[in-house]
Amino acid sequence: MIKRRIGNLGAKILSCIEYLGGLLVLLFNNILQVFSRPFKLDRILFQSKVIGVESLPIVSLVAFFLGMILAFQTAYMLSKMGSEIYIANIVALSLVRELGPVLTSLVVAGRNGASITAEIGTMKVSEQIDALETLATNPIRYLVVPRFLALFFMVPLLVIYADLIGIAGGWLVCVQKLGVNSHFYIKMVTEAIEYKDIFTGLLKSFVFAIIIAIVSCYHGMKVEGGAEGVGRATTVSVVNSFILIIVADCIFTAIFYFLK
Amino acid sequence: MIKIENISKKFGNHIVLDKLNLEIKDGETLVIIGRSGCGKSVLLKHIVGLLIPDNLDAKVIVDGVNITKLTWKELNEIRNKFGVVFQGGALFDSLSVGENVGFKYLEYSNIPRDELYKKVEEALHLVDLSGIQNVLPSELSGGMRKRAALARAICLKPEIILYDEPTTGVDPITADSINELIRSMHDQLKVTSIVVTHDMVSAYKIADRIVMLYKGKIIAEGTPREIQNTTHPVVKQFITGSSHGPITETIDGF
Repeated sequence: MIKRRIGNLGAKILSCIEYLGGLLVLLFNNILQVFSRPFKLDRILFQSKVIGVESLPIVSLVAFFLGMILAFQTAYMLSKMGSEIYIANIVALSLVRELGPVLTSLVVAGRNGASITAEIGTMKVSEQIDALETLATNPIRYLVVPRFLALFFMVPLLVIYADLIGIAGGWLVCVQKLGVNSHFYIKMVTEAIEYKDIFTGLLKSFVFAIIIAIVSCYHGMKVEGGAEGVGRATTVSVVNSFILIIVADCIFTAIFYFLK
Repeated sequence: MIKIENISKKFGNHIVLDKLNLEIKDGETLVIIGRSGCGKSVLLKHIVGLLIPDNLDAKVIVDGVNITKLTWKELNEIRNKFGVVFQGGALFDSLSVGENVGFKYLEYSNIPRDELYKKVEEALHLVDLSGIQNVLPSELSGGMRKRAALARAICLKPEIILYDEPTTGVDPITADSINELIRSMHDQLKVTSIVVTHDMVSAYKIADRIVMLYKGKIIAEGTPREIQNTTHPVVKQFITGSSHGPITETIDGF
C-alpha cells in the first residue's frame, strides 16, 4: 500500500519534471527560431492586434473595477486607523507592483492563451502542422514565434494600461465618494510610485507573458484525439498558465521583498 | 526511387509497422491498400520524414539518401521533392485558397504578386478550380478542398506526390474526377505517386502497382489485374469487401 503510494508520488513528480522540461525545450527552440529567417513582421503585428488591441475592453473593465474595489477596501481598513490619506498610495502600489501584472496576465491567459491552444490544437488534429512540415516550414517558427513575440510585447503594455485604468478607478471612488481632493490623490499616487515599483511590475509581466505563450503553444502542439483532445488541452493550458503565473508571482514577490 | 527497408513502428503496445520493406520506382503510381487503422498513413508519414522508425537499422532511402538520419535542414531539401495531399486537405484555415496554394512562394521567395498569381492560377486550373484564389478553405466543399490541396502539392512541381485517402468522404462522381486528376498528374507531369486508400474502385483505376498492408507487413503485391485475380484469402476478403474471412476471424478470435 505504502509502496504503491510512494510509486504514484514518484510517477507524478517525474511527469511534472517531464512537463516542465518540455516547456523549457519549447522555449529554447522558440528563442532559436526568433532569430531565423524569413522574419515575417506582418504575422507578429496581426497577433499583437489580436492579443493587445482586442484585449483592451476586458482589461479596462477588470482594471477599472479592481481600482474601485481596492479603494473601497483600503478605505474600510484605513478608516479604522484614521489613516485615509494613504488610500491613494496603497491603491497605486498594489496595482503597479502586484495586481496589475497578475490580473492582466490571468485575463490574457484566459482569453488569448485558451484561443492559442485551441487554434494550434485544431491545426494539429487536422494535420495542418504536418502540412507545414512537408512544406519545409518549421511549425515553431510559423506558429509559436509570432504569438510569443506578440505576447512578450503586448502583455507589459497591457499591464501599464491596466495600472493607469485601475488608478483611475481608485480616483473615482476616492474623489467622488470618499471626498478626497483630486489633486491630492494624484500627488499621493505619483509620490508613492518609484521607478523600482514600475520595474518590478514590468519584469513580472514579461515573465508572465513568456509563461502564457509557452504553455498555451505547448499544449496546442501536444493535442491528440480530435475535438475532445482540443477541449481538454485548452482547459489544461489555462489551468497550468494560472498555476505557473501565481507560483512565479510568489517567487518574484519574495525575491523583491528580500532585495528591498 | 524510394526504398523502404526494415521499418518498424509501435504506438504503445500496438505494432503498426513490422520490419516492412517496399520499393517504389520512379514515375510509377503505387497504391497501398489496407483496412482503416492498419498503418497506411503512418507508412506515408515515414516516407516524407514526418515520423521516424523505432528501430535504428531502418532506412527510408529517397533518391539514394537515407532520410531517417538527416538534420532538419537536410530533410527540408529532400522534402522539396515531395508534394503531400492530406486526408482532409489540411489547408491552412487562416489563409485564402490562393495563399495556401502559393504558400511556399509567399514564405520563401520574393516573386512579384502578378507572377505568383499566375503560378497559383496555373496550379488551380490543373485541378479545375480556376478563379477561387480569394476564397477561404472553409467555404469549399470536401471535394474542392481535396483538389485545392492537390493544387498546393503540385504548385512547386514536385517529383513525388503522396496522397492520403484522396477519395474518402466524397461522392462517387467527385471521387472519379479525383482519380482522373491523379492519373493525369502521372501522365502529364510524370511524377511518382504513392496513394494510400481503401477504395478499391479508385485503386484499380489509378494504380500501376498495388500493395496490401496487413499486420504491419506487405502481404501482397501486383498489378491491378493480379490483385483482382488473387487467391490470397486476406487480400481476397479485403478487395471483395466481405465481412467473413480471415481478417474478421482474426479480430473475432482476438
